[in-house]
Amino acid sequence: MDTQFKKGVLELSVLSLLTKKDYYGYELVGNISKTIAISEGTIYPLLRRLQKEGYLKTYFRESKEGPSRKYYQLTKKGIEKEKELKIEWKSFEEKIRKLIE
Amino acid sequence: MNKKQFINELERNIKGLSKEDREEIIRDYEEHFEIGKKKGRKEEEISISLGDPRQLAKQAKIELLVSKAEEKKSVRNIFRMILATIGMGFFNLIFVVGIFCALFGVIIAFFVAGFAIVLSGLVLIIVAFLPTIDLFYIPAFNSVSMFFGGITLISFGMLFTIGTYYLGKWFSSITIRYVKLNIKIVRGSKK
Repeated sequence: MDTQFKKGVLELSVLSLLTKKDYYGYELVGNISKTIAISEGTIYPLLRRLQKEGYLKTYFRESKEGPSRKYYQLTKKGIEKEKELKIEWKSFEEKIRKLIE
Repeated sequence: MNKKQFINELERNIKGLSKEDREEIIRDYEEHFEIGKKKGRKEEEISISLGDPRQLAKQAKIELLVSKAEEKKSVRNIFRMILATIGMGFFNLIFVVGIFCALFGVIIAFFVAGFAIVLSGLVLIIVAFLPTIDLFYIPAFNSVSMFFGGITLISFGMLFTIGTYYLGKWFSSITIRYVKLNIKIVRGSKK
């Protein structure tokens, strides 16, 4: 798949996963890279940007094994953004489907 | 590349960011390594899947500088953002530096002009109240017309300054938007 395309859906993928539950970085990266082949490290700058823009907040939670983990949680603004991007994606998908059928 | 080499390489390329930002970036990747190792992966394996630390550092840097420039549209922040983007290989932004400097000069000149107009209005009002006014012997230059002329100049100068302020703001947003457009492209083209 075209890399430009992958990066475009990365933001939506991150926000969508976080609507289900709070994830810590490693877990989130693992989930996404299962579907989208991407340099895993690029997800962290994206997370930081989404946090700065107020779509995410973070908190730390201790784990039984090793150091405490940083968890990412959607804010109200983030939930709205996810809905918005999903609608955009669906209408894009619909148009492409019509085009290629 | 093992964890230590990866972190060192990353650290070397995020100089210029604040201490908190640097620590946060390093912390995120350290956590990633630690958890990966707990899951039984090798350090070398993890660093390969993370990608090139130099590219990651640049990406982290530019994202932070853009959000900083958006937060506070100061000349310094915008300038740093443009420079970091050029550092990523966006040489077309060198033109932006030129345009940015030129327009910045124009805006400063407009501000100075605005203040000068306000000042000249003030001077006119002061002169209107001085007895020396009779020295001119020109009917149009009587105290009343000078007084109102002064008020007109002050209001015009103020409006001009306010207009320049909004022009500056608008110009900052345009610059940020253009840089963001470029990063969108880099985010896309980079593996």
